Amino acid sequence: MATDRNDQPPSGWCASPNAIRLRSALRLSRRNTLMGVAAGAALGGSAWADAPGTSVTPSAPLMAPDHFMALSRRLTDRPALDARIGAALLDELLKVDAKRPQQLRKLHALMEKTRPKSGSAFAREAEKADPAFRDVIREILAGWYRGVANGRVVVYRSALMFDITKDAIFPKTYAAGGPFYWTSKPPEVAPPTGTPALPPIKLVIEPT
Amino acid sequence: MSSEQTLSADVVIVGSGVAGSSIANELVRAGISVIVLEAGPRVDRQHFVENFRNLENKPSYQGPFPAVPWARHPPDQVTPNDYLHTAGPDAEAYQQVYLRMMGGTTWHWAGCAWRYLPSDFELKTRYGQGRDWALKYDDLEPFYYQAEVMMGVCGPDPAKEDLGSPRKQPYPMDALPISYAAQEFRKLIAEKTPWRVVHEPQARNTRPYDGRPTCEGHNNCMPICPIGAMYNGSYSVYHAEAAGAKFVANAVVYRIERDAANKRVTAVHYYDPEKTSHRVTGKYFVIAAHCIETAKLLLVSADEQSPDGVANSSGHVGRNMMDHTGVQVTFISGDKALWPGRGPLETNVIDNFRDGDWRNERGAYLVHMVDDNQVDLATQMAIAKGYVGRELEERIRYLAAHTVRLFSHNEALPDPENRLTLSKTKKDILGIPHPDVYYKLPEYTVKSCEHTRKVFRELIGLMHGTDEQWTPGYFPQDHPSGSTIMGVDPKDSVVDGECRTHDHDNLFIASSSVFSTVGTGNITLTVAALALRVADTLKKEFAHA
Amino acid sequence: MPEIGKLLPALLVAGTMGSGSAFAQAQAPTPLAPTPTTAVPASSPAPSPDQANDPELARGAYIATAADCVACHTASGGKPFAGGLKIATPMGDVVSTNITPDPEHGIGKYSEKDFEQAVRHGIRRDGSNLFPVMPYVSYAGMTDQDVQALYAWFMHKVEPVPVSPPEDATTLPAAMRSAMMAWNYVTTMEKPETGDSGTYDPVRRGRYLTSALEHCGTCHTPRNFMLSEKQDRFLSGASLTGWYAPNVTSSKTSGIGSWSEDDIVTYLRTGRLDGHAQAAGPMAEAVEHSLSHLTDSDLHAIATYLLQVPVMEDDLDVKPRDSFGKPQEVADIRHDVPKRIDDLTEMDGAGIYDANCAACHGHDGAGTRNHYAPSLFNNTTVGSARPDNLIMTILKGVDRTTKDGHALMPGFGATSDVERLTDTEIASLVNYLTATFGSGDHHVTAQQVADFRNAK
Repeated sequence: MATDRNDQPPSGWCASPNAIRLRSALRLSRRNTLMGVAAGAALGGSAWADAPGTSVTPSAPLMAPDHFMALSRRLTDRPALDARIGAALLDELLKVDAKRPQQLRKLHALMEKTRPKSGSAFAREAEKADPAFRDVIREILAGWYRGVANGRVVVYRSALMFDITKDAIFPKTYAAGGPFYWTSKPPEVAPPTGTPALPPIKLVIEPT
Repeated sequence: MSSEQTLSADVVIVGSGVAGSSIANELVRAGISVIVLEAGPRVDRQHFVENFRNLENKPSYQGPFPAVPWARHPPDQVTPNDYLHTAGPDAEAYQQVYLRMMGGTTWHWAGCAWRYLPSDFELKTRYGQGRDWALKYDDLEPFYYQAEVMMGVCGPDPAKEDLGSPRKQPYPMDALPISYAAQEFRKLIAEKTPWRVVHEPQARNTRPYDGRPTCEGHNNCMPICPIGAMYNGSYSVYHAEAAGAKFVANAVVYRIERDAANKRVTAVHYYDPEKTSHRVTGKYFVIAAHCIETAKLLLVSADEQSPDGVANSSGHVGRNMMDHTGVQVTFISGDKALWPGRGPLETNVIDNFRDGDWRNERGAYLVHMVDDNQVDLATQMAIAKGYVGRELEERIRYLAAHTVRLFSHNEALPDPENRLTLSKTKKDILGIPHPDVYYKLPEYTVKSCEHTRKVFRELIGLMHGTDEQWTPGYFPQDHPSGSTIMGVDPKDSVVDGECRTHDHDNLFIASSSVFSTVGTGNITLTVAALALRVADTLKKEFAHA
Repeated sequence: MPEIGKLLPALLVAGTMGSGSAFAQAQAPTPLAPTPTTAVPASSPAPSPDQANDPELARGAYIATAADCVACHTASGGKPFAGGLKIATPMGDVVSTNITPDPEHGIGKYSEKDFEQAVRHGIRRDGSNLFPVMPYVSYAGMTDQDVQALYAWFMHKVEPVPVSPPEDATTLPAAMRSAMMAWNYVTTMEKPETGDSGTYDPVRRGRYLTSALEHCGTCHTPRNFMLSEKQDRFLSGASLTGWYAPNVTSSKTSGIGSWSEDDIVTYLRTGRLDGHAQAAGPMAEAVEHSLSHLTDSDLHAIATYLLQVPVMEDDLDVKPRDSFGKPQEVADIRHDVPKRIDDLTEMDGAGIYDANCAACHGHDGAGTRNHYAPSLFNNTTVGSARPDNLIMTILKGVDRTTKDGHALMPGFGATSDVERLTDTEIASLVNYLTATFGSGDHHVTAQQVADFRNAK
């Protein structure tokens, strides 16, 4: 008779199925994905956090923070990004799996070599060079824009998605408009004209 | 496992949620001693606020509430999960979530405080479906108002916007001004459809109330209001404690002891986290432990006197499980920017499908245009679509401003086959079995959901929507009800119109588990009103004793 | 008189400490079902200045408002002026008396002379001495005409209430009343003004309102060893056991000399000056019951007067209290995953701020955009060198209703429904706040917070 101990870390069962999809090229059904998480958790940790060879030591960085910042600036088309957030994101991204450190370094080298003019142009070239870069690029973008890397919250209110939208809406729990601010008219948004740089992946909206 | 200690009070209540704590508050202020046994721990708001911010999967409103091992609650609305095991054709549609801790599940409700319609109590008489309750709307009306005052409910002036449930007094607070998104939606519905959008009554402050501040629109009612502008059961716990009620945390009740005649309950027994057993005696007992846990406790208490479980001579304990199993769609509006998510989460409802002659063949429902911040979802969508850099940013902005989510609460019917039983294979660390639920959506509800899908498609068309994503199948609304169903006949029901069990004179149940039908409005206000009515009954009995 | 030293501060201060509903409610059990808070608190039947057509009665009504009689002489939820407000002191409760014109239970049998003796000299009709909870030391400055008008108004316009408040549940020794007589000889009474107070020039009118009617000095002027107000330190700030009534002299560094006349008027009328200061505790009550009902010209007179009272410098507040701090823009780098619901480990100051305060006051301390929730930098309460009012505000919250609206910040003390912070948590929070947005870490300890929590 199974007796549960409730000893799995919350990160095991709090991880969003969508997050799992974003970080993985695998397409799993919701059910299978979650079972995978549960299985991983049962083995003593989250399914992807304990990949071997991921320890980061200051003496031999798996990726130079400056390189990660340069890569991030290119992918976000932003001239400046917060270096402290960058360091915290890099810490987590390097742990995603054993191949990540090398992939990140290669992605940076590619950028140095090709000097792309925009984030989209770079993503297209990178994808052509190695389709596996898709996931790496998506992870970096999810890190900066959602504030999430390796299934963890690295920043919440400081995520770039809130910077883009701050003239219209507040991050949940940080509303600064005072009571009934919401009755006012928010800004219009022109239909976007840009095109995707990477092939789409499926995103299923979970019930909440 | 011998009882080491005996506690005693006039009334012993199991569960500290809105039902248990409000009964405790009423009784203790009438000079009746009360002990409330809560399976979960004492908690506080500040840690939940930080838990929310640290949570990766923000839409998971169980996420900020990792359970204690001795009082598990379902970790998430996913199937399978490792606590509430659902099976049957619509297993995923009954994956309810709730919270076991001081104050109960209202820590993460959206504050929607609907009264039921008079017809909801008479479904059988009026439409030949389901059952009638053993009480009428008018019996509950004064307690609805008492509950509204207790929680602090805001709502529209009935003269301007009649929600169909007759009121003797106005709402304690003025209606909440709705967001720009909701205003636009309301205009569209008024101009282009025969329907209407009404202000949702909410247990949310539109002015300072009861020492708590006005809502500031943090858009986080679920999972956690960061400022206390919304009611939750912990306030009733505090108020009852201030008046002298005793609340025992981490007290997992596992047995209901009766006298030799099996007519009166004499004590309940609980385990503390170390599995030491304690016995608590009283004159009256109220089980107010949420629909799922209440039925579980009655079944777990089976013994030689009551082999099928306590209060279960009808065999209906654990049966007739209902919910507002709904339909959900998300799409991108082609009209002007709405920016949903400014203000509280659920503020407006299309209420035209809450009642009608068609209820003789399909269930009623209500429709929410959810005012949920879509920035995170927009970001995930834009990244998934393959946008990068500047193109990603403009796409996030556009999607955040134009993503619309609709969902419905569809009415279920009590079907004895939809049943909660004790797991034969899974037990918690105290040795108490997990709950299993078999669920098949009633045909009545399926037809209702089909109608809803048709209406949603029409609304998507009106808003020039694209990229529609339907949540597959049906999804739970976390309004489980019916597991200790109310009725006049002891042969096919568990409690009578006073919420007193047919089998045991001094055992009451205060929970949505007594609902005979589930209507369409969120269930909490009706749970609170029934609880306050139980308190009133008990006060009268003590006065006459 | 061994007790008098201990007793007097309590008595002197209690008059303002307990002068309103918020304080009284803190002592009362939570109501059965929460009473919907009405826009005007049940205990604020402030006389409307224009209710009487007779000029003398109109004057009397206005004087009653300016002297804030209702605040002390009305119980929470009770009938106006019927007394019964329990004013807690460390040595027992003093219960305010019925001053309605009921002959048996109120002051119906008082002649105008009796009334004058009580108001200006602290002597009851039966000849015994009032406790100086009744600010007769200040009211001594009222003109004959105003005392007469006040008497007329009480006798004609206040509804008699034939109920006596419960007799003093006080443990105050009876001898204390006669001790007051001796004290009255040595303390400095306001000198009675003369003539028609309505015709005074702004400075004289302001002085009259400030000193005789509003009795500002009762709280804002420190006391000498005999606990009389130190007239040479007029309005230079004083502790009220709990709240601190700050320096409101014209000093540009320690006082409010850097505020304009309009700033002061706005503050007195609404209890707030956006981006600078908010009234809480006893000051919120003074604003709610009295100051917010004064005419614009009277508020200007008070401001004019305050801006020319002698400068008094403070030992601790040597820069304007609203001159400290700036928005904090720091990324919220996070290290934790959600913790189990029973993990209530105390957080550090920054964490406590984020979890309890940032939702309203902003992650950066800037408050809401419309100043509904005030900014914490450039804020007198946070910037003061004395953390007293910051600690008290966190414990008790803010509850202030004026025509400007109902300002409510929930308290975080032991009766809060929103969050109940421990002494350690509040100490960490206060030190974080003053270090981040104020004049530096004041190293407040949990014990100090406990003392404030228990202050009566």
